[in-house]
Amino acid sequence: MRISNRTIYQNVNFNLSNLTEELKNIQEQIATGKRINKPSDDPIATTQALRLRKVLSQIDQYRENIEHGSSWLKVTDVALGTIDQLISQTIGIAYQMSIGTGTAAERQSLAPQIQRLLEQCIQIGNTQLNGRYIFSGYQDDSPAFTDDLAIRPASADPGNDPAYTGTATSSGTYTDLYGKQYVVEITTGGAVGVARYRVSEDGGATWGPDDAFATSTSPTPVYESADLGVRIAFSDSGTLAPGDRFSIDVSHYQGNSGEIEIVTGSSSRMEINLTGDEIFGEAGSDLLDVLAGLKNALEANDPTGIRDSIGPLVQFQSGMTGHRTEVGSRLESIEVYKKILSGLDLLHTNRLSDIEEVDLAQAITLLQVKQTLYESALYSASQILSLNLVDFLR
Amino acid sequence: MMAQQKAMEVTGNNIANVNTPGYSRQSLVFESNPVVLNNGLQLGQGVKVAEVVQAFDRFTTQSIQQRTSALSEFESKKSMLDFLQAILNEGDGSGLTQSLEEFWNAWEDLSNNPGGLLERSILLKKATTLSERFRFLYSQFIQMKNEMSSNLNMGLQELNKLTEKVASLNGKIVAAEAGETKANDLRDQRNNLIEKISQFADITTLEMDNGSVMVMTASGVSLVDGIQSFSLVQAGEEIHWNEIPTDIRDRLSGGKIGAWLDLRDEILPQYMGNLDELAGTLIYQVNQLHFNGYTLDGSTGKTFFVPNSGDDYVAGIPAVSFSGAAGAIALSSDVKGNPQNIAASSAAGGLGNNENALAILGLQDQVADIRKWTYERGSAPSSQVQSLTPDEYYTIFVGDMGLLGEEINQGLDFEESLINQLNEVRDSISGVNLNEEMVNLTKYQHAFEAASKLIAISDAMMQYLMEIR
Repeated sequence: MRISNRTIYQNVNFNLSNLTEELKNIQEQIATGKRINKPSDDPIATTQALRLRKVLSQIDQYRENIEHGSSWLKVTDVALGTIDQLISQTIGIAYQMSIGTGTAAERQSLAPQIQRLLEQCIQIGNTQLNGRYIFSGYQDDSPAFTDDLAIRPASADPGNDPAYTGTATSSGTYTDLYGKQYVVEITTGGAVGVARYRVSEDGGATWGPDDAFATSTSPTPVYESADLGVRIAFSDSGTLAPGDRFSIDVSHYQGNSGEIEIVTGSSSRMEINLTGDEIFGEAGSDLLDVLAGLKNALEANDPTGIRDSIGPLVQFQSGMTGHRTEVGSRLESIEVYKKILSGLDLLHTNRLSDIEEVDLAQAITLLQVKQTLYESALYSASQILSLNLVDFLR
Repeated sequence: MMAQQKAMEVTGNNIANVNTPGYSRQSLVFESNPVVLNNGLQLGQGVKVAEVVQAFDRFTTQSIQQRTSALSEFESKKSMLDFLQAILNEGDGSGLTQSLEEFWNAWEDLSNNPGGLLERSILLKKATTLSERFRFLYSQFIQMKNEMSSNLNMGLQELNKLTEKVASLNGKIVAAEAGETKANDLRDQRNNLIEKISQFADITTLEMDNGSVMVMTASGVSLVDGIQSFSLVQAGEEIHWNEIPTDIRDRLSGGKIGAWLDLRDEILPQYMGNLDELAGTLIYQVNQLHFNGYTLDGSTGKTFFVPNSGDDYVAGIPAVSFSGAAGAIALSSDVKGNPQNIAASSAAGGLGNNENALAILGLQDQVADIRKWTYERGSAPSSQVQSLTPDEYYTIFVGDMGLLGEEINQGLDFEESLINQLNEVRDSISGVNLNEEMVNLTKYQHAFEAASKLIAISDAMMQYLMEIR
């Protein structure tokens, strides 16, 4: 084939620039440590790397979430352990004082100790983690328990979906010693003012007479046996139907039953909190009420009353053990999650580096090969380009 | 002797043009003069120059023209695609993917402490970064589209100049070749111009009997016909032929102009459309949940992102057009600067309620119907609904761009080596080899010397005759 001068020049140029480009690519790979520097270098590997990075970032986040859950559960565990001890102590005192041999003076002298235990229980119930009350449910910005019994906001009775579209509001100053669970049930329907209701003082177990009270937009008393200061008002924006129920708890617990969850995986969540009514029991018969009852019985020198408190106390203690077992098992599964996530993290990190990282030894060897090639190309080009018949025609 | 001198002139011309692009080697065709009958003997009358011919292979030259347009199309596309990929910045994982991840993770941190103002502020910051990332990409796409339009303007102007020149050369060649001679140098110039035209668009050429060349685009739009050239002008986004206001964009392909049109009218709108879908879906989904959630102070009905405002979210896919969403995404005035207005709760009251935050962060793993757009010149854009998570949609977006980039790189490599080989073939026929020319030069020199010698000998003979007394 005829080879023209231009062909020679162009070939030298073409091949040298190709080699330069290859050198640049290898150099870029070595400098960045990455095999893929833009998506078109390897589109499939790029998308794989993107997915893996997403997974890795999620794993990081899950570990953070789990760490948060873990500290929450550990604090819960410590609090429950302390309450368990306090209950044991109380049961001991109750046993001793329930025996007829104790004197009135002895019993009365122990009443302040029970009061202290009650206060300690409240204090532990108000345990905080990073400024959040861990037993308050969703209301974690306010203490879970108060020293005094307080009237909680009126709400639709659990399991009852009222036809009424307005809101029922509770108010008043409670004057009794024990917590109570009032339930208001509409017995005659109609607008506010027309509708009438009956009241239960024990969470709906026993009821007062039908149509005992008239609904009103201003606070009206909710009482059956005695007026203890609890009031209910209805907003004038809907019709009440027979069977609509509203409950008003009067208790030490001021939180709600919100379940706080953490994200432990793309479709798995874990509940990490226990609410105040879960650990101390429902309003009207909670641990604090039992303690208050015991204290009153001691002051009144009433061995029967003291003995009556032992049963519920033992029940609370076994309940506490149940809660601690549950918290323990959650902590355990968190440990398992942690291990799984570190395993996955390692696995995916390795896969990612397999996909996008350069094998340095290989890359440097390749660089040397290309360098040698480049040098030989330069050498041969310099040889060929200087060959010319003109030089020999003299 | 005159003939040999002419030959040396041609050789000299070849040597002088050794580096002229598109120059075709020329050579002389010698022809013996007709014989003369003299006393019944046929006597040779020496040599004459019949013509100067070009070593020229029409087929190879046309192939080169075609490949040139493919090559410059790939070159233009490659440089834009490289730029686009650099903008996405996904190679080292600091692009939109990362902003998205950080956005979701901020929601998770918030879910761990829904009442925390710090977590809320961080979420707003991450959401701002995400919005900015979207808007940045979108503005770059728009800028690139504008750049393509101005490239087209200048490209068309240059093309018009080239076609004008070809037309005027046509005139000169026809005039010069009216006689017997061939206008070799003018033809070389014209070929060179045509090769330049084919850098701008895919063209076909047709040589007429009178020596003029017709230039048409691959789909038959006439650019040069005889001594007349037809201009292409951009009006708005349309391209008009010979100032007739009909869009002929779909009849232009290949070359730089084809590449710019593809980028401006197909590739970029497609990326912008798909980015809009992603941003729009994100805005729509987050707003939908956020609107129904409750803020720190227990109010509800707050939007998280604009442009969808109020309860716009109600009309969802596919009724709503998300066109322009990526260019406009931003924090709504509800939450901007008001971290307490992030609706992390599912009900009023209770700072610890993280239900809504959990629902929103769940969107990252939730498959949604997202449209994927296809733009083709000459037909309305079409979309296809795909069920993907937002993150996966974007991963595929990046992967698609990578695939296109890879395809273009491969095409470019192929065309480069092909055109290199074609050039080699052409140059093996038309190219000047200096050594060959030196040999020719020597050859003609010897012939010249021999002819001179003849004169010297005849002179000597004549002198000898003259000296006979």
